[in-house]
Amino acid sequence: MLNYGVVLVGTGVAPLIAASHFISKGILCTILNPEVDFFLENSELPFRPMHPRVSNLKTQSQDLKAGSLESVAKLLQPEFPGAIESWSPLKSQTPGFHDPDTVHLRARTRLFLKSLKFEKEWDQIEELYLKAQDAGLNSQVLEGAKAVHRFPGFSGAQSNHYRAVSIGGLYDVDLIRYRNELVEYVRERLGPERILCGVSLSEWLDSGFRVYHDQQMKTIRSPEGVVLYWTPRMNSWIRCASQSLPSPKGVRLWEEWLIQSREFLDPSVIGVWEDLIAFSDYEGSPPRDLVSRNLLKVFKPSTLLTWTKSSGFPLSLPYANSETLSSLSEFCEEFLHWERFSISGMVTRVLFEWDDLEQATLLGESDSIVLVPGSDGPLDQVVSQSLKSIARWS
Amino acid sequence: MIVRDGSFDVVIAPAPRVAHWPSIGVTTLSKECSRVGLKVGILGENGIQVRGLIPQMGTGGVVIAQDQQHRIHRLQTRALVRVSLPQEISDPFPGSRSQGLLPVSTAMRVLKSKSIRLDQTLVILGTGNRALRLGSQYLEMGAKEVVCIESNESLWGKKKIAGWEVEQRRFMSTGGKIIFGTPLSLTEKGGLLWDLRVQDTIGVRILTVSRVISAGPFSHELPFREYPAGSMLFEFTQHSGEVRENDIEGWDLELNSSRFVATRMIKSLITDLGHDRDRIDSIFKKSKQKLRSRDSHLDDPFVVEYEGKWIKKETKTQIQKYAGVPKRLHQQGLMASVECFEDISCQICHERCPESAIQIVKHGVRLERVLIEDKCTACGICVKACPSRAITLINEPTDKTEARLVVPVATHHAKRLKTGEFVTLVNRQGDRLSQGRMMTELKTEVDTEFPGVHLIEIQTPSHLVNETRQFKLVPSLGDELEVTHTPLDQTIEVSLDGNKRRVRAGISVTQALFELGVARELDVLSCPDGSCRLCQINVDGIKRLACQTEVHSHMHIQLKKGIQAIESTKEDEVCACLGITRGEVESRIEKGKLSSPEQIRASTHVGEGRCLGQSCIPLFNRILQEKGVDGSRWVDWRFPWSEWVVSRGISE
Ligand code: SF4
Ligand code: SF4
Ligand code: FES
Repeated sequence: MLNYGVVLVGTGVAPLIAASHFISKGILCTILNPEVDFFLENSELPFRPMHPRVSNLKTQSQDLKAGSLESVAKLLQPEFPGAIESWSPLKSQTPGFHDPDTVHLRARTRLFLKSLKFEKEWDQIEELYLKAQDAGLNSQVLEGAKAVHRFPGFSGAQSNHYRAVSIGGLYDVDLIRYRNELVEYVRERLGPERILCGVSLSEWLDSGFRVYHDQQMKTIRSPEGVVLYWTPRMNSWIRCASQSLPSPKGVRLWEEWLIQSREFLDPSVIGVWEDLIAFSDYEGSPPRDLVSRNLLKVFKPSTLLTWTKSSGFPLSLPYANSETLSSLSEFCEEFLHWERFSISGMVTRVLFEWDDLEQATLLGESDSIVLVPGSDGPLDQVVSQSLKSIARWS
Repeated sequence: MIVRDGSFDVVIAPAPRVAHWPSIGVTTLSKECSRVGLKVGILGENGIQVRGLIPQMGTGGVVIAQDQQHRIHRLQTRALVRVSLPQEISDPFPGSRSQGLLPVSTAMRVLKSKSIRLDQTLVILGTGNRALRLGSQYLEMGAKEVVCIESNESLWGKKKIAGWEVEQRRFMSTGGKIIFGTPLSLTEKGGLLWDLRVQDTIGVRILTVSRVISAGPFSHELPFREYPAGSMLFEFTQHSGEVRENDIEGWDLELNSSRFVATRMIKSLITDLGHDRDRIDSIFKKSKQKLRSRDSHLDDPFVVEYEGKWIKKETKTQIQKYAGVPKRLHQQGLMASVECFEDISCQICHERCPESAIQIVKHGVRLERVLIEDKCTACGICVKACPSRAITLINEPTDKTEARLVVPVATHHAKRLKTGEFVTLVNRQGDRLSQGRMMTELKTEVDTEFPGVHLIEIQTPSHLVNETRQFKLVPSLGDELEVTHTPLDQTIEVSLDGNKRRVRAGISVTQALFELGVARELDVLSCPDGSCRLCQINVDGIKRLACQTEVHSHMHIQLKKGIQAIESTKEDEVCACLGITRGEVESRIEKGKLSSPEQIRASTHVGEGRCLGQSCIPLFNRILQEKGVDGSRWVDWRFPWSEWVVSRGISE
């Protein structure tokens, strides 16, 4: 029977990073993915959202620190099989070989824009400005035209109603490339019998489980241990494993809209307006010709829904409803001053949120099963949680 | 902005460009589901257009639709069936994305509007039933020459799905040609003509053509998939025509598939079916069985073998033995010869015969058509009614050297015939055999019902009556085609980028541009209802959909970049909107040993261009298959089926 080594169960980057780490240390492991591939659940965010809805005052300092390009580069590079390029609007590229097709970490400026009308909310943003300065990030307060014309896609004339805080040097990663290269690498090293996709759980055993894969029943035993990366898609597995689980603060739905734009979209800025985060969508470093794929991506986090053990998921999550559409049309028409806009794509994802990522991570009597919270969310968080979870084996 | 919310158990929605709506599968699905009390919504009518689907975790999803007032409807559904067209885009080659190449659905649509020049060769890429039938229709309308090109001969065995033999016979006997080769390039020649270069075993030949029609790759796949498995999200392929007679196999395939899918959905949406249980189970079983037996004859297809132009002895005996072919009484007078050898589901001749002279009998697992000779009165109704022209009337007296044969002939050809004139007899594959004589036209009771078909009696030498299945006019008697010109008073003047042009009155802007030979890449998709939204054009200063706007006198049509022929596309372009080539996709797959369609699509960005994947996702799918990536069950549910325009002031 195949020795499975440490069994990693998850749907996205988390199990892949762990596997990549194990590979470099020469430790045997196997990945089981309940999804058909590593893209479907799509549970990582390309940056720390730093959105008033998502990050509160408590987490902001932490977000600023963890989200800086330097610290993320330091975190990602060692476990990543290829090169990671960095791009920054301020620095010209260092001489030497650069691979335009590889994963890029981009330093994009976060622009928190507010209308002068909202005096109160401005205080919060100013707070952020101070914190960013403390964290050594380049932050500025901008007024009027300077503020609003940097917002990707803005085409209005009136500009003296606005002010903004801009914080430079926060990371943003092209996730698809990142996932891709990881999958390619891990797949090659582990071989097809150690990276199984589309696996469904049949029952838990003492040190492993019976699963259904490729129209066959398989028994996966791992005396070495099992790591479960808890993303929403993993719920059914995890609930079967134990009734006494740590519980996340809640789940949040993220809507991701793709809007065709006729305006110039500053590729170096991620704008935050009301409840939306908007930025030009591209891979690698900003393309010279932004016309052929001039897409504005808009993230809209919805309110946090409490997650209860008994009910599990709230069944009807409120996406693409009148609230969202009104806020999109307000954004495009009233704020950006577009005459009309075309939506060319929309996806949703559901992510957990946690109060405390250090919560109990062990399941069952034995301590051979590790449950990893924080396996979804900003990429840097996912990677560091994943690495933490396997510390015991290395 | 007001969003109207709704919720359904089942939503059935058309993908852009479906040929007609609702088709048989759609009505069947909805009927079966509502019968057991499910709430069914059929979208796509009354100006409601579907913009996209957002799959939901678990099952079902949310459908976004927009009505004519641009109001948005957000419909929650537990199960969804998206109905789309079968694949019809050819493998790319330089020029294949120009106006010179039309998908088969567009070609069928313009068949009646006479927008394609018939006095030149018409090429169809493909030799499946759909391709051959369209070819026959064009020939019967008077096309000078129709050539079907098969680029993958190895598929031929498999193509012989039920009815293929009949379609091929009809096509070839009416003058169609089939050649084997691969198209290399298509270049515009001017005057609505194109040059198609084809590589065959001998070398490269150049065909001057009036259009190339792509019928897409041949497939035996069942026309529905659920993706991901268990999600209750189905993609369903539209195979039927508007009426069953147009394509019986396609119709029945859609019908049985829809029954199968409906019962499957019902079983998972309703836990306790109560007294409906048995009925549902039986529909489920029956449709499943029918879908299974669809390919049964593949093990034993009927193949007519020839020696030169003559049918081989073995085949001849086989034909003679067939129960639909008369054995005795045709020696005494005219009698139907029902030469439909394969196990197909069509029973039209049986239904139409007023004397019940054609019976359908189960022979082993197959259905056979049996002629009851004593009953047949040679009324000719079945000959007219048979959509595949598989029936003739024959009279083969033993004591004479002359025999009589009645064949169905299209009006275009029939009206040029004169009694007593000599005609050239041709066999089942269009080879010239000898001469015969046109005798008379046979009138039937159903002539008004089938105005397009005439029954022409010809005299043939006795020994040829079983070989002959069509005839041609003797060339010397004038084989030329008149090119019809529209009289001047039926045309109007429009201005195209400031230049005056005359076009036919009463046609759409798309068609006018098409007839003027103006190449607008995405117009070739020419949808019937504006659902693909790709043909937007500036007319009289306003943006409109060209396919939905009728030309009027002195209309100003403004093309974006002026009149421009599309440059030959890159050798192997897959996604023309973004310039992504086959090579790029393939190397991505190879380099990364990628194995999931989702991942490959996301990392290559195929389908993210202006047409939102409408012209490249089918191709992309095929590349996946060739590369051994299991994409056969994959459906691209990304949100947009079409772009969704929200404009200021219009939405509430
Ligand atoms: S010719 Fe008339 S009677 Fe004879 S089989 Fe056909 S329909 Fe029936
Ligand atoms: S009408 Fe009769 S002969 Fe013609 S295709 Fe149908 S079954 Fe065959
Ligand atoms: S060809 Fe239009 S998106 Fe690919």
